[in-house]
Amino acid sequence: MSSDRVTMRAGTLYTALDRLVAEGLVTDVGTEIVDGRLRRNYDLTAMGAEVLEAEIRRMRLNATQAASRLRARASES
Amino acid sequence: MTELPRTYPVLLGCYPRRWRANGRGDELLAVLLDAADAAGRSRPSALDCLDVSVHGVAERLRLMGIVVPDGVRLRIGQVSVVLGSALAIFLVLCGELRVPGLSDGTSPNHLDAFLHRDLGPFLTVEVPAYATWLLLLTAYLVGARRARRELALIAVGLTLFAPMLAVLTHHQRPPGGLLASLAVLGVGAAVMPAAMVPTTPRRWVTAGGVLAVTATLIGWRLWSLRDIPPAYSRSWLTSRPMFYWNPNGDHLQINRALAGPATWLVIAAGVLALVVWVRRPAWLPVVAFVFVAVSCLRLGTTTFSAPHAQRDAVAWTCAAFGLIVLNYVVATRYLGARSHRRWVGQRDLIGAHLRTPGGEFGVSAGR
Repeated sequence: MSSDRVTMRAGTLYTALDRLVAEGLVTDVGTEIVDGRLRRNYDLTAMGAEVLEAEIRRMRLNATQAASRLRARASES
Repeated sequence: MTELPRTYPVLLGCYPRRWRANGRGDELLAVLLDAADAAGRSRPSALDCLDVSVHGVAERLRLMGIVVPDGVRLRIGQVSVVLGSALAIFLVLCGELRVPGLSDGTSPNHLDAFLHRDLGPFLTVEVPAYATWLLLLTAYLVGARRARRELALIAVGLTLFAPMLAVLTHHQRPPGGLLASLAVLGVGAAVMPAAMVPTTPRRWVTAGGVLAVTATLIGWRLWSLRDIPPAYSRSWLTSRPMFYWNPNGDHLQINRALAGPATWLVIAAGVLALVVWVRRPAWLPVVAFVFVAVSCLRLGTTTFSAPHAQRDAVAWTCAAFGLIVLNYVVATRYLGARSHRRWVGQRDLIGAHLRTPGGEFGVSAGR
């Protein structure tokens, strides 16, 4: 998903997953066996989608402001 | 099928049995094996082992109820700010500040050494920590969240460094029990969640609390002077050296300086705990914290001629720590159930107001 830019270790991953499940942002949608190993699949809940949408909007606004400041700085110099 | 390296079962053993149930242990094992395969290893890396074991232990602690909810940390922080600031004001006025023209000639000869080791108008090297407490109170009242935590940590650092500073500079420091108590209160102020800002009315309640506690402490101080000869207690400010170390004949002893009032404070906190236990269980950890902080006042307040005082101090503190663990378990269960109910209510409210499927980013409202 991050094109190998972010590597999350198992403990960190499960800390985040447990928190997201506890907050109702993702939910467990069942398990399956792949290559002899147990996989559990998670999916966004409706509330998780709302929160993600708001976060994307916030990050996009930050990026827009940063870009405009960079442009202003470039035009000054 | 090849046998798994022993590292994997050991790592899974870090987690409580309840967490590993329903296939989660196998799921975690699969993630670890995938990570090792991707890195071309047959066993997890050292960093993976550390990461997983920390998470496993954290899960064990969480299931044991040893977590401090934000609401409890906020209350502990508020109480710590009130008590620590009041104690700092009280100590500066009664224990540190030298009033020119009043101090001289009111102390016995064996206290002269203290009078000639002043740091300007002050007595000990703990004054910077007291000043930090006052800055911390100001930061709390004006709502400076980040400065609040940093100032609390600085106050703790200065307090813990005071004994070494006293040795290095050949100046006085307050008794160890007092330093321990201030350090505990500083930690209590530092754990206050930075994201939570108390409302303005509550801040003014805090300011009122500081005034009330300061007035109470000064009242205790005046009351404690009733048995001291008039030559030493002509004014409560002039008896400054006797605040930390009370003279007893030819000796200085510190177990009479604060131990009496502190004992009454501890008893009062215990009674308060009983009252709160009945009425507001969520405040139990806060009361227990205060109990520990005040109990620290007894630590170090002993002399070689009274070794039982040290045993009393240890017993008090052990009992206090036992109480705090018990109270955390009770309060966490109570707060956990309450916050879950609140969260379910919020979730239902948001769900009812969800926009139609396929919003701004094409995110579906349902799975």
